[in-house]
Amino acid sequence: MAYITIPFTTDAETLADNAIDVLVLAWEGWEPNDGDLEVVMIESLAPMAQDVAEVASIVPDSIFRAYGTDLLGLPYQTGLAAVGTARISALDNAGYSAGVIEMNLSDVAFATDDALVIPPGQTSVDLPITAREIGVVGNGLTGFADSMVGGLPWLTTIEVIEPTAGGSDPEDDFAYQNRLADRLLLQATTLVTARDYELMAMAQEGIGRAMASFNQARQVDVAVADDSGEIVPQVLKDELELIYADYRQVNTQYNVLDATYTPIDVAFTLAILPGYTPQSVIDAAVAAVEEWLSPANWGRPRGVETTETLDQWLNEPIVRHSELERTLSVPGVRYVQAATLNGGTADVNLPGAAPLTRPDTIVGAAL
Amino acid sequence: MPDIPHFAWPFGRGPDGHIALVEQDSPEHIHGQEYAVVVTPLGFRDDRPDFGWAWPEFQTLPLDLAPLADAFNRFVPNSDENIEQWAETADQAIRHVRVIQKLAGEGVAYLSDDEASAGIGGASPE
Repeated sequence: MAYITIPFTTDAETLADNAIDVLVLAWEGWEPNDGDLEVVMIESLAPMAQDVAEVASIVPDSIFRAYGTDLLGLPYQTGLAAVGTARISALDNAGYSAGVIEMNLSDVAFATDDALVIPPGQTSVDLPITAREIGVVGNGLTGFADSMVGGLPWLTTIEVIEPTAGGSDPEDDFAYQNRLADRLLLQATTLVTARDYELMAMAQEGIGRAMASFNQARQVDVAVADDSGEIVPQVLKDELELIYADYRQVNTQYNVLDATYTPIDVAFTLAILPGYTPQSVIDAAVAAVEEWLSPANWGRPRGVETTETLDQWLNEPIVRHSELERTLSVPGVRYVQAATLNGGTADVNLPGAAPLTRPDTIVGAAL
Repeated sequence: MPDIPHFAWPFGRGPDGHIALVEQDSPEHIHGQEYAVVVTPLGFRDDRPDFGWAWPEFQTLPLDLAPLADAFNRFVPNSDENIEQWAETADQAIRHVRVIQKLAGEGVAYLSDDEASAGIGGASPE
């Protein structure tokens, strides 16, 4: 049985007729004949097309299971061995010891979990036992067991008084799918971590960036911006607050904030490598600085390749001069002769709880 | 390119490197359709089991070529051909079948009785 089966209502003959109809439409006066090579070819290929269409219409169970094991991290249950308690008796109370006792209980192999020790003064001891094989075959067994360990003349009986229990077979595909379906019923939309608040915000249309932070217990501030890093209209922020109200944990307070924007001036002088056109390199450097300081990108992790982190907005309250030099290192740059941020070489501190930058005046020159 | 194209028989590339095509109802086109009939025994095509002609396996000589003529009439609308047979000089058991296309030009198919008894593929155009 397929996980999802999309209705497939055609057959090879219909597909062949459709193909011939296309040819009839393509050339006015074109007439098919059973002796025509193209008709023979279509007739041969149509069953293949039907097979492909049928396969494409089926989402096999294996995809559903892979979703559970790989994406949800829900593994198959490998099964359990039955357990119980065995009373092991000796000839007398002189005290005896041995290693793990293997036994045969109704043709199922069991073994004691621990080494056998019958203290002096006792003639028997109760020890936990576990079946040697996984599955329900070890359940519900009682009675006397045969020792499979030789050389213990003092051992008289091994008796399992209470039925063994707890054994389960390894989960098959069908059982796993049912359990996975039940597990999915437990999936709920909740806002717990700061990242939850960010993801919920970015799931709303019109919000492209979000940065949440817990400044104190049960108090989360969420700064939002659109895809361009610009201010989100108030109506969208109101809608987001309503959503937060629905999904937040009890007593958790939240604030939806706008970013604080700071314009940044940059001036730089570059030494250009031979073989490069200075103006092209300068233009590339200006573009790199503008991209770096764009509110759409400020705080976005740089130098990473995974898409998982690219939508993050890291709180970055400092425009660092060293990062400016890193940004200016576009192809063709031999070295950075001089570079300034807002007219100086010091780092620039950004105000606000959720600071973003704007490129203001970006001026570059070549040596 | 022909105004109303069909694949040429046998399938292949033309001198220009493109798939060889023939004009609909041209002698070459009709010849290809007749060829398809000649080489197809009845029941060979799953979706068109009535296409072709009764394969002359185990026939006594001379071959009964009426089924072939009937197949031409049924499956090649513009066919107007003569079918004749003759025995090979060295071996009278080998029969050659010639299909002469009257429309224009001449398409010839050979079919020997011992090749036919081996199944499809016993015919070759000339």
